[in-house]
Amino acid sequence: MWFDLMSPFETDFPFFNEMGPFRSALESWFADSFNRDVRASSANRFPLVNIGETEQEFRIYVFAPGVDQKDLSVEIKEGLLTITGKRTTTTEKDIKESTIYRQERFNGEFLRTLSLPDSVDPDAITGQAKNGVITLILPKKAALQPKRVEVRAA
Amino acid sequence: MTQQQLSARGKPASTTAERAQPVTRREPTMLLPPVDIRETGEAILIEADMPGVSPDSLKVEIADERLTLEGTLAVDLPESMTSVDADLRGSHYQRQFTLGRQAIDPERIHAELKNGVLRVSLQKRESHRARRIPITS
Repeated sequence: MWFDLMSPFETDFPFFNEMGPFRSALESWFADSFNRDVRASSANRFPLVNIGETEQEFRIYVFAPGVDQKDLSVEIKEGLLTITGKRTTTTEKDIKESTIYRQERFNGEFLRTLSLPDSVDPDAITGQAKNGVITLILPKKAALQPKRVEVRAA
Repeated sequence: MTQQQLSARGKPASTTAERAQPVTRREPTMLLPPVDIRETGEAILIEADMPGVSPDSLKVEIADERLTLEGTLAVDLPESMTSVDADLRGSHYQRQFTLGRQAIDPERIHAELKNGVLRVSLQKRESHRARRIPITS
């Protein structure tokens, strides 16, 4: 495929001045030594996912910028949570009508699978989307949540 | 295609004790948003993935031929949450580009943030636009 032939570091933006190539090399060194480079992982890993836990629930933050609601599906089956969808960042028209200098953003279909711990109640999972982040809330089963014992005066 | 174990059981205390990512740290790790850059006859178009950035935390600035894209990743994190796993570590996005002074009209830069994607269009000056040359026979 055409896109695969393009490495973000071999081409450069022609409107960059002579510092351009240096800057871009510097940027990639920086990425390796100091930063967690989002670009490196996004090439074959999309969407990125962060997971957190409280006593009551797990939360999965799915970073899916520019993915239309209709192109995304989250399914739970047999203890597996599957996120599938597609994102089109470059159309045939773009290729025909413009010159592409960099293409680092994920383009195409994606699938990620997470195995759920037994403590999650699969029927109680909810989700909401904001600013390209989908937050999935996975409540733990009621029996496994910490309980407060009420002590009444006799 | 990846499969991960969501369970936090068996993790060393040091990792579960960490606050869930992304969070605001004292020294934030810089995130480099992936970008697509293309040029049409009239403009340079830059698209950057910046999920979790709201319009009021976004900064698009041009100074000294340098275009800076900056934003803060913010999601709703419960107070007592601990991190189980994080692909994205950090909360501050930043990326800079150097632009040719002659080509871009600094008065005609347009930026739009939608669903976590920033689109910046930089209109070229008249002198740098594609034009059709009339051929007389």
